[in-house]
Amino acid sequence: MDANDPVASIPRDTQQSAEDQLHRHLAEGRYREAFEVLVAEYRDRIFTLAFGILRNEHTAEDMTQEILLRIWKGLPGYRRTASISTWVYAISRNVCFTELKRRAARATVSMSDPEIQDKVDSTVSSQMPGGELGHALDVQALLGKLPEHYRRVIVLFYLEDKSYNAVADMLGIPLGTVKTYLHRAKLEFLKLIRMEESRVNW
Amino acid sequence: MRCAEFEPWLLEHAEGSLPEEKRPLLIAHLAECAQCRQTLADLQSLDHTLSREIRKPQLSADFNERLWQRIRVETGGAAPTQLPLERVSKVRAEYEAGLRALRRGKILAAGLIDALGLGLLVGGFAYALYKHLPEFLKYNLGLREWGGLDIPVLAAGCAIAFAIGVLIRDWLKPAGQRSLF
Repeated sequence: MDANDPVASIPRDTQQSAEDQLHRHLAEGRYREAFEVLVAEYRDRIFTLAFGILRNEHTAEDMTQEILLRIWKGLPGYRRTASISTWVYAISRNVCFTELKRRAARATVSMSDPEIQDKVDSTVSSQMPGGELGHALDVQALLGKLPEHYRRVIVLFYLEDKSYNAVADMLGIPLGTVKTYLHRAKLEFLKLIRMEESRVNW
Repeated sequence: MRCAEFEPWLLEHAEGSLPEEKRPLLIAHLAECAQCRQTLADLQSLDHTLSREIRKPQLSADFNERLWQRIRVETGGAAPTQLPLERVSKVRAEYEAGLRALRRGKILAAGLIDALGLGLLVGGFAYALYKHLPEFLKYNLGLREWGGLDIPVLAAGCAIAFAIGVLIRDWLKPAGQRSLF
Protein backbone atom coordinates (compact mmCIF):
# COMPACT_ATOMS: atom_id res chain seq x y z
CA MET A 1 0.00 0.00 0.00
CA ASP A 2 2.75 2.40 0.90
CA ALA A 3 5.88 1.74 -1.10
CA ASN A 4 7.84 4.40 0.76
CA ASP A 5 7.19 2.95 4.17
CA PRO A 6 10.48 1.41 5.30
CA VAL A 7 8.61 -0.84 7.69
CA ALA A 8 6.46 -2.31 4.93
CA SER A 9 9.43 -3.72 3.08
CA ILE A 10 10.91 -5.72 5.95
CA PRO A 11 10.76 -9.38 4.99
CA ARG A 12 8.82 -11.50 7.42
CA ASP A 13 10.78 -14.74 7.12
CA THR A 14 10.44 -15.87 10.69
CA GLN A 15 6.70 -15.38 10.66
CA GLN A 16 6.40 -17.16 7.32
CA SER A 17 8.17 -20.27 8.46
CA ALA A 18 6.22 -20.47 11.70
CA GLU A 19 3.04 -20.11 9.69
CA ASP A 20 4.12 -22.93 7.35
CA GLN A 21 4.95 -25.13 10.29
CA LEU A 22 1.57 -24.37 11.79
CA HIS A 23 -0.25 -25.23 8.59
CA ARG A 24 1.64 -28.51 8.29
CA HIS A 25 0.68 -29.51 11.83
CA LEU A 26 -2.92 -28.52 11.25
CA ALA A 27 -3.16 -30.38 7.96
CA GLU A 28 -2.00 -33.54 9.69
CA GLY A 29 -4.32 -33.04 12.64
CA ARG A 30 -1.53 -32.48 15.19
CA TYR A 31 -3.41 -29.82 17.08
CA ARG A 32 -1.25 -29.84 20.18
CA GLU A 33 1.92 -29.22 18.19
CA ALA A 34 0.17 -26.59 16.08
CA PHE A 35 -1.04 -24.88 19.21
CA GLU A 36 2.43 -24.90 20.72
CA VAL A 37 3.82 -23.17 17.63
CA LEU A 38 0.95 -20.71 17.72
CA VAL A 39 1.47 -19.90 21.39
CA ALA A 40 5.19 -19.38 20.88
CA GLU A 41 4.54 -17.16 17.89
CA TYR A 42 1.53 -15.15 18.99
CA ARG A 43 1.26 -15.21 22.78
CA ASP A 44 3.15 -11.98 23.34
CA ARG A 45 1.52 -10.20 20.44
CA ILE A 46 -1.94 -11.17 21.65
CA PHE A 47 -0.97 -9.89 25.08
CA THR A 48 0.28 -6.63 23.56
CA LEU A 49 -2.95 -6.18 21.61
CA ALA A 50 -5.04 -6.96 24.69
CA PHE A 51 -3.00 -4.48 26.71
CA GLY A 52 -3.38 -1.85 23.99
CA ILE A 53 -7.14 -2.24 24.04
CA LEU A 54 -7.77 -2.85 27.74
CA ARG A 55 -5.08 -0.57 29.25
CA ASN A 56 -4.57 -2.88 32.19
CA GLU A 57 -1.86 -5.51 32.52
CA HIS A 58 -3.81 -7.89 34.72
CA THR A 59 -6.94 -7.84 32.62
CA ALA A 60 -4.84 -8.15 29.49
CA GLU A 61 -3.17 -11.28 30.87
CA ASP A 62 -6.51 -12.81 31.84
CA MET A 63 -7.89 -12.06 28.40
CA THR A 64 -4.80 -13.54 26.73
CA GLN A 65 -5.59 -16.79 28.54
CA GLU A 66 -9.19 -16.56 27.43
CA ILE A 67 -8.21 -15.83 23.83
CA LEU A 68 -5.73 -18.71 23.65
CA LEU A 69 -8.29 -21.06 25.15
CA ARG A 70 -10.74 -20.06 22.43
CA ILE A 71 -8.09 -20.52 19.79
CA TRP A 72 -7.36 -24.00 21.13
CA LYS A 73 -11.02 -24.93 20.95
CA GLY A 74 -11.42 -23.40 17.51
CA LEU A 75 -8.24 -24.80 15.96
CA PRO A 76 -9.92 -27.58 13.94
CA GLY A 77 -12.37 -25.01 12.58
CA TYR A 78 -9.62 -22.80 11.18
CA ARG A 79 -9.65 -22.76 7.38
CA ARG A 80 -6.92 -21.35 5.20
CA THR A 81 -9.24 -18.68 3.84
CA ALA A 82 -7.67 -16.19 6.25
CA SER A 83 -4.04 -16.06 7.34
CA ILE A 84 -3.38 -17.34 10.83
CA SER A 85 -2.59 -13.85 12.10
CA THR A 86 -5.84 -12.41 10.73
CA TRP A 87 -7.76 -15.21 12.42
CA VAL A 88 -5.88 -14.93 15.70
CA TYR A 89 -6.20 -11.16 15.90
CA ALA A 90 -9.90 -11.25 14.99
CA ILE A 91 -10.57 -13.61 17.90
CA SER A 92 -8.39 -11.47 20.16
CA ARG A 93 -10.19 -8.23 19.31
CA ASN A 94 -13.52 -9.94 19.72
CA VAL A 95 -12.71 -11.12 23.23
CA CYS A 96 -11.12 -7.81 24.25
CA PHE A 97 -13.91 -5.59 22.97
CA THR A 98 -16.51 -7.78 24.65
CA GLU A 99 -14.57 -7.44 27.89
CA LEU A 100 -14.27 -3.69 27.37
CA LYS A 101 -18.04 -3.36 26.94
CA ARG A 102 -18.66 -5.50 30.00
CA ARG A 103 -16.35 -3.29 32.04
CA ALA A 104 -17.87 -0.10 30.70
CA ALA A 105 -21.32 -1.32 31.70
CA ARG A 106 -20.04 -2.14 35.19
CA ALA A 107 -18.18 1.17 35.50
CA THR A 108 -21.33 3.15 34.74
CA VAL A 109 -23.06 1.45 37.63
CA SER A 110 -20.28 2.03 40.14
CA MET A 111 -19.64 5.62 39.01
CA SER A 112 -23.15 6.57 39.98
CA ASP A 113 -22.26 5.79 43.59
CA PRO A 114 -21.21 9.17 45.10
CA GLU A 115 -18.94 7.58 47.69
CA ILE A 116 -16.98 5.72 45.02
CA GLN A 117 -16.93 8.83 42.85
CA ASP A 118 -15.23 10.75 45.69
CA LYS A 119 -12.52 8.14 45.88
CA VAL A 120 -12.03 8.17 42.12
CA ASP A 121 -11.69 11.95 42.12
CA SER A 122 -9.14 12.01 44.91
CA THR A 123 -7.08 9.27 43.24
CA VAL A 124 -7.04 11.18 39.98
CA SER A 125 -6.01 14.47 41.52
CA SER A 126 -3.24 12.90 43.58
CA GLN A 127 -1.78 11.42 40.38
CA MET A 128 -1.68 14.72 38.53
CA PRO A 129 1.80 15.82 37.50
CA GLY A 130 3.50 17.92 40.12
CA GLY A 131 5.75 20.99 39.95
CA GLU A 132 8.43 19.69 37.60
CA LEU A 133 8.42 20.40 33.90
CA GLY A 134 8.66 18.52 30.62
CA HIS A 135 9.59 14.93 31.24
CA ALA A 136 7.86 14.93 34.61
CA LEU A 137 4.50 15.04 32.84
CA ASP A 138 2.41 11.98 33.46
CA VAL A 139 2.47 10.52 29.94
CA GLN A 140 0.04 7.75 30.82
CA ALA A 141 -2.50 10.23 32.14
CA LEU A 142 -2.13 12.37 29.02
CA LEU A 143 -2.50 9.31 26.80
CA GLY A 144 -5.74 8.62 28.61
CA LYS A 145 -7.03 11.99 27.46
CA LEU A 146 -6.70 11.08 23.78
CA PRO A 147 -9.70 9.68 21.93
CA GLU A 148 -9.69 5.93 22.45
CA HIS A 149 -8.94 4.94 18.83
CA TYR A 150 -5.96 7.34 18.75
CA ARG A 151 -4.62 6.16 22.09
CA ARG A 152 -4.88 2.53 21.00
CA VAL A 153 -2.93 3.13 17.78
CA ILE A 154 -0.20 5.23 19.40
CA VAL A 155 0.33 2.70 22.22
CA LEU A 156 0.43 -0.29 19.88
CA PHE A 157 2.76 1.56 17.49
CA TYR A 158 5.38 2.04 20.18
CA LEU A 159 4.86 -1.41 21.69
CA GLU A 160 5.31 -3.00 18.24
CA ASP A 161 8.63 -1.28 17.51
CA LYS A 162 7.05 1.42 15.38
CA SER A 163 5.62 -0.90 12.75
CA TYR A 164 2.56 0.38 10.90
CA ASN A 165 2.04 -3.09 9.50
CA ALA A 166 1.90 -4.77 12.87
CA VAL A 167 -0.63 -2.25 14.17
CA ALA A 168 -2.78 -2.58 11.04
CA ASP A 169 -2.76 -6.39 11.34
CA MET A 170 -3.58 -6.32 15.01
CA LEU A 171 -6.42 -3.84 14.81
CA GLY A 172 -7.70 -5.10 11.48
CA ILE A 173 -7.67 -1.62 9.93
CA PRO A 174 -5.95 -0.39 6.75
CA LEU A 175 -2.35 0.79 6.85
CA GLY A 176 -3.35 4.28 5.72
CA THR A 177 -5.81 4.57 8.58
CA VAL A 178 -3.14 3.57 11.07
CA LYS A 179 -0.88 6.29 9.73
CA THR A 180 -3.62 8.92 9.80
CA TYR A 181 -4.66 8.01 13.35
CA LEU A 182 -1.07 7.96 14.51
CA HIS A 183 -0.29 11.37 13.07
CA ARG A 184 -3.45 12.95 14.44
CA ALA A 185 -2.76 11.30 17.78
CA LYS A 186 0.73 12.78 17.91
CA LEU A 187 -0.41 16.28 17.03
CA GLU A 188 -3.21 16.00 19.58
CA PHE A 189 -0.73 14.75 22.14
CA LEU A 190 1.62 17.66 21.47
CA LYS A 191 -1.29 20.02 22.10
CA LEU A 192 -2.07 18.27 25.37
CA ILE A 193 1.56 18.49 26.50
CA ARG A 194 1.74 22.19 25.68
CA MET A 195 -1.49 22.84 27.57
CA GLU A 196 -0.31 20.80 30.53
CA GLU A 197 3.09 22.50 30.58
CA SER A 198 1.60 25.97 30.53
CA ARG A 199 -0.82 24.91 33.27
CA VAL A 200 2.01 23.60 35.43
CA ASN A 201 4.15 26.62 34.59
CA TRP A 202 1.73 29.21 35.78
CA MET B 1 3.75 25.42 0.22
CA ARG B 2 2.43 26.60 3.52
CA CYS B 3 3.33 25.29 6.98
CA ALA B 4 0.13 23.27 7.31
CA GLU B 5 1.07 21.33 4.17
CA PHE B 6 4.45 20.47 5.66
CA GLU B 7 2.88 19.04 8.80
CA PRO B 8 2.53 15.45 7.51
CA TRP B 9 6.10 15.65 6.20
CA LEU B 10 7.33 16.74 9.60
CA LEU B 11 5.56 13.75 11.15
CA GLU B 12 7.08 11.36 8.64
CA HIS B 13 10.50 12.94 9.04
CA ALA B 14 10.33 12.56 12.81
CA GLU B 15 9.52 8.88 12.28
CA GLY B 16 12.31 8.53 9.72
CA SER B 17 9.88 7.55 6.98
CA LEU B 18 9.95 10.67 4.80
CA PRO B 19 10.68 9.72 1.17
CA GLU B 20 14.11 10.84 -0.01
CA GLU B 21 12.76 13.10 -2.79
CA LYS B 22 10.76 15.23 -0.37
CA ARG B 23 13.67 15.84 1.94
CA PRO B 24 15.36 18.83 0.19
CA LEU B 25 12.09 20.75 0.01
CA LEU B 26 11.45 20.18 3.71
CA ILE B 27 14.98 21.15 4.67
CA ALA B 28 14.66 24.36 2.64
CA HIS B 29 11.42 25.17 4.40
CA LEU B 30 12.85 24.41 7.84
CA ALA B 31 15.75 26.77 7.17
CA GLU B 32 13.38 29.70 6.93
CA CYS B 33 10.53 28.70 9.28
CA ALA B 34 11.16 28.78 13.01
CA GLN B 35 7.70 27.51 13.83
CA CYS B 36 8.12 24.31 11.82
CA ARG B 37 11.60 23.82 13.32
CA GLN B 38 9.98 24.01 16.74
CA THR B 39 7.22 21.55 15.76
CA LEU B 40 9.81 19.11 14.42
CA ALA B 41 11.87 19.38 17.60
CA ASP B 42 8.70 18.81 19.64
CA LEU B 43 7.75 15.79 17.54
CA GLN B 44 11.21 14.28 17.88
CA SER B 45 11.19 14.80 21.61
CA LEU B 46 7.67 13.36 21.74
CA ASP B 47 8.94 10.30 19.89
CA HIS B 48 11.67 9.80 22.49
CA THR B 49 9.27 10.34 25.36
CA LEU B 50 6.73 7.87 23.99
CA SER B 51 9.41 5.27 23.17
CA ARG B 52 10.59 5.57 26.76
CA GLU B 53 7.22 5.74 28.50
CA ILE B 54 5.22 3.17 26.57
CA ARG B 55 6.81 -0.02 27.80
CA LYS B 56 6.00 -3.59 26.99
CA PRO B 57 4.09 -5.21 29.83
CA GLN B 58 5.33 -8.61 30.98
CA LEU B 59 3.33 -11.82 31.19
CA SER B 60 3.65 -13.81 34.40
CA ALA B 61 6.35 -16.46 34.33
CA ASP B 62 3.83 -19.25 34.85
CA PHE B 63 1.54 -18.09 32.04
CA ASN B 64 1.90 -21.18 29.82
CA GLU B 65 1.57 -23.51 32.77
CA ARG B 66 -1.69 -21.87 33.81
CA LEU B 67 -2.91 -21.90 30.23
CA TRP B 68 -2.42 -25.66 29.86
CA GLN B 69 -3.98 -26.20 33.24
CA ARG B 70 -7.03 -24.25 32.18
CA ILE B 71 -7.23 -26.19 28.94
CA ARG B 72 -7.11 -29.44 30.92
CA VAL B 73 -9.86 -28.25 33.26
CA GLU B 74 -12.16 -26.89 30.58
CA THR B 75 -11.73 -29.49 27.88
CA GLY B 76 -10.71 -32.51 29.93
CA GLY B 77 -7.31 -32.32 28.26
CA ALA B 78 -8.70 -33.77 25.06
CA ALA B 79 -7.34 -32.41 21.82
CA PRO B 80 -9.94 -30.36 19.97
CA THR B 81 -11.87 -32.60 17.60
CA GLN B 82 -14.17 -32.18 14.67
CA LEU B 83 -16.69 -30.45 16.92
CA PRO B 84 -16.47 -27.25 14.87
CA LEU B 85 -17.90 -29.13 11.88
CA GLU B 86 -21.01 -29.89 13.91
CA ARG B 87 -21.02 -26.26 14.91
CA VAL B 88 -20.84 -25.21 11.27
CA SER B 89 -23.87 -27.30 10.34
CA LYS B 90 -25.72 -26.02 13.41
CA VAL B 91 -25.02 -22.43 12.48
CA ARG B 92 -26.08 -23.12 8.89
CA ALA B 93 -29.34 -24.70 10.09
CA GLU B 94 -29.99 -21.68 12.31
CA TYR B 95 -29.27 -19.35 9.41
CA GLU B 96 -31.69 -21.14 7.12
CA ALA B 97 -34.38 -21.27 9.79
CA GLY B 98 -33.89 -17.53 10.21
CA LEU B 99 -34.29 -16.99 6.48
CA ARG B 100 -37.51 -19.00 6.47
CA ALA B 101 -38.83 -17.03 9.42
CA LEU B 102 -37.95 -13.81 7.64
CA ARG B 103 -39.79 -14.92 4.51
CA ARG B 104 -42.81 -15.93 6.59
CA GLY B 105 -42.63 -12.51 8.22
CA LYS B 106 -42.63 -10.81 4.83
CA ILE B 107 -45.61 -12.85 3.65
CA LEU B 108 -47.40 -12.03 6.87
CA ALA B 109 -46.64 -8.34 6.40
CA ALA B 110 -47.93 -8.44 2.82
CA GLY B 111 -51.07 -10.19 4.05
CA LEU B 112 -51.59 -7.52 6.69
CA ILE B 113 -51.23 -4.74 4.11
CA ASP B 114 -53.73 -6.53 1.89
CA ALA B 115 -56.15 -6.98 4.76
CA LEU B 116 -55.80 -3.35 5.75
CA GLY B 117 -56.49 -2.13 2.21
CA LEU B 118 -59.37 -4.47 1.80
CA GLY B 119 -60.76 -3.50 5.21
CA LEU B 120 -60.59 0.20 4.35
CA LEU B 121 -62.38 -0.39 1.08
CA VAL B 122 -65.09 -2.57 2.58
CA GLY B 123 -65.44 -0.21 5.54
CA GLY B 124 -65.68 2.81 3.27
CA PHE B 125 -68.24 1.03 1.19
CA ALA B 126 -70.26 0.06 4.25
CA TYR B 127 -70.05 3.58 5.65
CA ALA B 128 -71.20 5.10 2.40
CA LEU B 129 -73.98 2.60 2.21
CA TYR B 130 -75.06 3.34 5.78
CA LYS B 131 -74.89 7.09 5.36
CA HIS B 132 -76.65 7.23 2.07
CA LEU B 133 -79.06 4.37 2.60
CA PRO B 134 -82.10 6.68 2.73
CA GLU B 135 -81.12 8.31 -0.56
CA PHE B 136 -80.29 4.90 -1.91
CA LEU B 137 -83.71 3.68 -1.03
CA LYS B 138 -85.27 6.92 -2.21
CA TYR B 139 -83.72 6.93 -5.60
CA ASN B 140 -83.81 3.15 -5.67
CA LEU B 141 -81.44 1.75 -8.20
CA GLY B 142 -80.65 4.88 -10.20
CA LEU B 143 -77.16 4.22 -8.85
CA ARG B 144 -74.88 6.34 -10.98
CA GLU B 145 -74.02 9.22 -8.52
CA TRP B 146 -73.65 8.16 -4.93
CA GLY B 147 -72.42 10.47 -2.18
CA GLY B 148 -69.76 11.89 -4.47
CA LEU B 149 -68.28 8.43 -5.08
CA ASP B 150 -68.46 6.96 -8.47
CA ILE B 151 -69.21 3.29 -8.23
CA PRO B 152 -67.16 2.19 -11.23
CA VAL B 153 -64.16 4.11 -9.80
CA LEU B 154 -64.64 2.36 -6.48
CA ALA B 155 -64.80 -1.00 -8.21
CA ALA B 156 -61.64 -0.22 -10.19
CA GLY B 157 -59.86 0.72 -6.92
CA CYS B 158 -60.82 -2.66 -5.43
CA ALA B 159 -59.54 -4.48 -8.48
CA ILE B 160 -56.19 -2.61 -8.45
CA ALA B 161 -55.66 -3.26 -4.70
CA PHE B 162 -56.39 -6.94 -5.25
CA ALA B 163 -54.00 -7.12 -8.20
CA ILE B 164 -51.22 -5.47 -6.17
CA GLY B 165 -51.80 -8.00 -3.41
CA VAL B 166 -51.50 -10.87 -5.90
CA LEU B 167 -48.30 -9.41 -7.34
CA ILE B 168 -46.68 -8.95 -3.89
CA ARG B 169 -47.53 -12.47 -2.86
CA ASP B 170 -46.16 -13.85 -6.07
CA TRP B 171 -42.95 -11.81 -5.71
CA LEU B 172 -42.39 -13.21 -2.22
CA LYS B 173 -42.50 -16.81 -3.38
CA PRO B 174 -39.17 -18.65 -3.86
CA ALA B 175 -37.76 -17.99 -7.32
CA GLY B 176 -38.82 -21.30 -8.89
CA GLN B 177 -42.45 -21.10 -7.91
CA ARG B 178 -43.27 -17.63 -9.18
CA SER B 179 -45.86 -17.54 -11.94
CA LEU B 180 -45.66 -13.86 -12.92
CA PHE B 181 -42.07 -12.64 -12.40
